[in-house]
Amino acid sequence: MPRPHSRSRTANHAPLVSSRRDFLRHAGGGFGMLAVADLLRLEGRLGAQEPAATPYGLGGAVADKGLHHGAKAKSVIYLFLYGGPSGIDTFDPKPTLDRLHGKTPPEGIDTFFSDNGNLMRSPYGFQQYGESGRWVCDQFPALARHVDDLAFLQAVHCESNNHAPALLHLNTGLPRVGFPSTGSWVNYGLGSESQDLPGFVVMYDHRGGPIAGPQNWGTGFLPSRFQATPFRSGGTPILNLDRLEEVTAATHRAQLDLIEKLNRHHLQHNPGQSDLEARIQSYELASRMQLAGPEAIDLGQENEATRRLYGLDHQPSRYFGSQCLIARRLVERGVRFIQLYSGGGHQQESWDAHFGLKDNMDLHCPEIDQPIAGLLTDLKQRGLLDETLVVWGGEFGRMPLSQGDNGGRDHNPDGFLMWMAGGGVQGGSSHGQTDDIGWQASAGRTSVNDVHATMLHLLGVDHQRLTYRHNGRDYRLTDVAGRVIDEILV
Amino acid sequence: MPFPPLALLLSFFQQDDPGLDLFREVVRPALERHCVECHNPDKAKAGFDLSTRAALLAGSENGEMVVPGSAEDSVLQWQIDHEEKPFMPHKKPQLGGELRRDIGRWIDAGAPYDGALNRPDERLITDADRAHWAFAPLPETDPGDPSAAVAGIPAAAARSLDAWIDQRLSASALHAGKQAPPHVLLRRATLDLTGLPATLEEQQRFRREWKLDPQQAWTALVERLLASPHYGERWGRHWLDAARYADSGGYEFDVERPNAWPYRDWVVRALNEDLPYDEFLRLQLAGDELRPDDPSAHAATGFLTAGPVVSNQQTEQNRYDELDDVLATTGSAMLGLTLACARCHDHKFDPIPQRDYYQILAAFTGTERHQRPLLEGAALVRWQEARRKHQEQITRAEQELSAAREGVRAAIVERRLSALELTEGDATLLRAPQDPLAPQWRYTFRDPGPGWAEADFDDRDWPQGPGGFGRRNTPGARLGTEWTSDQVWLRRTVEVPEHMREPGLVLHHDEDLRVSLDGVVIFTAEGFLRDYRFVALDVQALRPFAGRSATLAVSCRQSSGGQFVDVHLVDRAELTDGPLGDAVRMNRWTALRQRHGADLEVNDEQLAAEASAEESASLAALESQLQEVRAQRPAEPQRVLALRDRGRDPAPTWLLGRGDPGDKREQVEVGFLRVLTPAEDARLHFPVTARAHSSGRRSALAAWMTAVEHGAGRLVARVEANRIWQHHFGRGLVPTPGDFGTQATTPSHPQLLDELARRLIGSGWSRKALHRAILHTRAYRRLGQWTPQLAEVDADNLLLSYRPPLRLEAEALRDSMLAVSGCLNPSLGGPGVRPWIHADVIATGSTNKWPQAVVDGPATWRRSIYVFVRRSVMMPTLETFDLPNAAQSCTRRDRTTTPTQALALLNNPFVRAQAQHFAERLRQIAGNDHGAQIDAAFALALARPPDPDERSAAAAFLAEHDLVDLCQVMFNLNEFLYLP
Repeated sequence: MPRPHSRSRTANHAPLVSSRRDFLRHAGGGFGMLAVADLLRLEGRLGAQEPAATPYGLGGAVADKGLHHGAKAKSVIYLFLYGGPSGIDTFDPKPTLDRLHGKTPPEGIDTFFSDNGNLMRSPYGFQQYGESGRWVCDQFPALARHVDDLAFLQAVHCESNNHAPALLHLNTGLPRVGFPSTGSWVNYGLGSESQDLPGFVVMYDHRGGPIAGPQNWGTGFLPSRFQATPFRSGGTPILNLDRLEEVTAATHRAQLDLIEKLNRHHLQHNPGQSDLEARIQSYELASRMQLAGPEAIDLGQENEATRRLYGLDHQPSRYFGSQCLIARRLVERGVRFIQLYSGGGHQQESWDAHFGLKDNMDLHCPEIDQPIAGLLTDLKQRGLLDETLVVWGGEFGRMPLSQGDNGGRDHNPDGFLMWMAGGGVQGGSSHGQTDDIGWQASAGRTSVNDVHATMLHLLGVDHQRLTYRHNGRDYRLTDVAGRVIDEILV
Repeated sequence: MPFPPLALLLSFFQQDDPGLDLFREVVRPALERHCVECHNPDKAKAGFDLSTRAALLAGSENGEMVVPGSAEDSVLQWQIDHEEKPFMPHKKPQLGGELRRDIGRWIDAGAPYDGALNRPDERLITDADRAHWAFAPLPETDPGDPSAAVAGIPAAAARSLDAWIDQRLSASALHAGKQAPPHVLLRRATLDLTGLPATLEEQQRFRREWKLDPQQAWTALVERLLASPHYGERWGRHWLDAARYADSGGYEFDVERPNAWPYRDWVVRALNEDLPYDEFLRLQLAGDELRPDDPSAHAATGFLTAGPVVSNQQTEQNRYDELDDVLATTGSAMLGLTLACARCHDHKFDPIPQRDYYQILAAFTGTERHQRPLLEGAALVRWQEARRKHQEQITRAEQELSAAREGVRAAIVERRLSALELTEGDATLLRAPQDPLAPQWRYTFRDPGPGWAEADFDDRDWPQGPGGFGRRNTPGARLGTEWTSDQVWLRRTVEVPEHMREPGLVLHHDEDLRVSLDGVVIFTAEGFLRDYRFVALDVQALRPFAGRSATLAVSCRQSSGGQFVDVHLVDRAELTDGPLGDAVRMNRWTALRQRHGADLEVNDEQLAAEASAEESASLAALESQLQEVRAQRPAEPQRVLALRDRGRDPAPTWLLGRGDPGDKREQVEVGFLRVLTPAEDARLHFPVTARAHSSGRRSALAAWMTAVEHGAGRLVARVEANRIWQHHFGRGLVPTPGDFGTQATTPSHPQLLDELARRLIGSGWSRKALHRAILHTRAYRRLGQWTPQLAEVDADNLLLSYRPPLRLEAEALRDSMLAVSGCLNPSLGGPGVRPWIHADVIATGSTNKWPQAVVDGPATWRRSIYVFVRRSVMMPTLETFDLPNAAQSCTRRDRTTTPTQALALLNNPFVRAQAQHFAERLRQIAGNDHGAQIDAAFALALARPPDPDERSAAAAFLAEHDLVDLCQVMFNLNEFLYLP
């Protein structure tokens, strides 16, 4: 729960209410009825017959209208390729690099391992696809058919060439621990569309989560209830979802009611404790998840054609395909922000291709090609792509030279590639470019703040106005910078 | 007065060596600045490297560069004086005259070095680095201490800690919150120090004493809690996080470690006994060297063996990865530094050159894991002796039996042979089963692991078979036992004669062979032979075994084609036919055996059938004698997965370019972090002294780690003081307990941190003394009272103006439920237990990693610290509540809030079962009266009575639902889940 900024407290201002009003103030204000409805609900005065605002946020109506302007997208599916995928080997080939293959690289390239080998061309062949004529490497045959839906940011840069800080930078806007993740900011600003599922779900690779773990989807100083709910990476995604047989539905309901009652009573004696309030709300959500959750994650409801579409019939793609399919089902059910990680664990298990780029991409590309292509196809055919923002990228890219002589590529934070697709994004467009060998951004340099500003913009949020006061300062996801990248918008 | 020993005199003169002084002060900086960039091992222009004295004297590709003792004959001097081309430094201004004369004087003095030059690309350590707040010396007492005048007694000590906090609060115009009421203090301190809720008896006692004298009651409570054995379980668990402790090896196969837990128990005991923290660290680094006779000191080295290990691959890369885990964990847990960042290159941010990483690594490169019996010195010797004796008795009884059986067998064969028509020679050969060249071996086809060739290795589980292991029809093979796998390991006890004139081995192998006696390798060979052959052994090599029995151990590895191995220890002078004759004889024997096998082979059934009554009776007697001897085996002691050095003189440690084992740059000696201890001080204060079976390197590291003035002790004390503070307050004065480097946030209260570190050291490194001081602060006893003003100024509670509730760690949560339900089995220590977990979770692993269908009971109702830590199958209820994954050192746990946690507490069968036991307990205490049941439930779970609202809500619930349902509600209350 946000802390009230007001220094004056009066007896009839219950801290909870005051903080909620304060929350609305932080969020920008100006949506009267909903705000009141939300307040009343929190004060327990809102009857069941009233239109329910979701307890985890302000409800769907906000998102439709946007918080500050009309929203193009309602949900985000963020495909995070942990380890750092290469742009020059996927969607942005460099003919000059082919020519200079084996030559000494320019001076001044600072790599993580300080083991600069010679310039190295891509091991893959490329072909042009679609009306946009986008070059795509031959490891993405399925995804290649969607290039006219994708908008490429070809010159993103971040501030660290080290995994943990770079991950935090991409996820929280700052390369340090302790700041709210993008998904938390979005849920703080917009709330969840779903009353029955978390607003922010993370699914990570079965080989392990990314380095720095939950800090990548934590809330920092935002109220804890905006943190992500991780779904398990093996077996059933949510354990303990079913009510125990020996507890009747009525008793279970009565238990939940008593827990809430006693917990609220406890909160009154411990005002202002965001964690305590978040836990109360986590019970409300948990009880609704028990009803909605099994259905949401039940892939048995999908027909054979859909399962094939996501690559569930092939071993390499089955795992990520299942997660992409769950992501679509979650979007349909109003989950605001879903982050999927491809790659986990160490070295070649992630996209961190230090030791053999080709081995690495031969392993990982087939894991994601069909699932992502299937996701885009499926969202489109269901009319969901227009209101879903799909983001693809890692924590940095990779250098155009070989690491030593082992055919791997080291980290490159100075110019890497991401793409977006979906609501409000101009398919087939691109912005920015790196130099002839793909080392540094040379035009249209795009900061992480810019990427975040654009994501928020598409969701109807002005990144400069979504603030949270903490330790006497108004914080933003985009800190003190950020520009909406109009070049790739409709 | 006697003269001092010569060595001392020499070292005295060496210290006063003017050439060395000159080198340190003038020459070294000059060479590092002007020369070594082009003349180092990697980039030796003109083949000249002057980074070490040996390299300097080796000269360039054009010949000698320096004549020690004579600058005027040294090419180097001519070149810097511009008397000879190329002038040096190349294409740079000439060095100053004074400097050149100093270099000349240094060459005249013999050109001594005090160590290798720092490379130009190596991060140089500056005074500013040394002044970093975590590295700087601890001020004696801080002149700014607002309570410097107060000293001594605990209450005053506590006040002085508060003084630092109050100072910052008043600087921010904040008032500290009120002190918490007694029931909150009781619950806070009990959970904080023991990880368990306060018992009803403790609640009554504390209430009673509080009424008499609150301060007295608090003091007494803190003492009782610190004396509780549960204190060590709680705080030991904190350390085990940092030590990434687990009961399995991780990675794909996640092999179980049944002997890991004695380390866990040692940690718990060390906390309970308040083992001084410096000794606590020293024993974990080098307990085996420091207290070789003390089994618990060996258990302490479990810190070094607890890391994950790739079990299905033994590559050099894996070995370095394991060592990296040791360094990373030591760095994080002890030094609060990200040491591992310097494995491939100098640390990007902190003053840790790559060389420092490898110098510390050198303390560990010569080590190995082993299963150390947990017996003290004399008992260990006694046990080994008893083991050896027992082994000998078994061998003797087996030999007697086998000799008798062979006798019977021979008799039967004689009876059968008489029916065959054979030449006398062939008949003699065919009688040869009792030939000493076909003895019985213990054998195995599965890798028995390290130490298998040692005399005291337990091979009693191995099958036995006659010698000559291999595949039929391998050239020259004389098959005794069939062996078709890749590798075979053989052991037998042999009597080594007192005197051997021409000792050697008669052997045949296909392919690679390795032979040892009592673990000492005496012969190895690669490739294969086609027949038996004699190889001579050095008489000296066999001397240690002369005149006694020893374990002959043989391993043979096979890659393709036929395979065979047979080895005999012989005295060639004693072989009447000569070894080749023997070999021929043996091959003839094989031919005859093949031809007349059916007649000659007397299998056990035939033996029984054809033996005479007397023969059968004598065999039966010997068999029962053998069984008796076997049954008298000495009890197997518990062992611990410990660390030891492989010997006194470990193989050299290399600085690896980019961390690549294929890129060995230069040898490095044991050293330490130079930002804390300059190289010359390291040699002076922390010399490496080899022990009987150990290099002494880790002892030097341990001494350095805890030496306050010259070593890392001041940093180590700050790190531990901060960690203790963190566990008490939920947040450290430095928020990153595992990183005190330059990227860390500076401490919120720097002088307080130094004061805590000083006190830790000053109390003889007593952690309990520090707990005591902290628990007596007002800051610790504050109410969790939050106000809007605090939110504005101190939202993160950096100033410690109030006390936010802290969600209990996973273990404390589970243990609380067990304690409240009355189920907790409070026994201490022992092997890990495996409680029930969801079948879906077990199914995620590729192998069967957890028992299915466990029924929980007292055996599994142990404290969670005793739950078996399987790296690939963490207990999901614990994992959901942020249990660390034991892959790396964890110095600060996450405290997340997710709906999956709520689901776990609502729908997990364990929680429900505990609620049932809780309800039974309430009925025993309060009968069927709802009011009394509710009162007891609140007392047990929350250490307080319900207020009227709570009581009426609970009563209304009970009117319609069962007591069990209410008990489960209690487990879901925020107040139950949080440390107040």
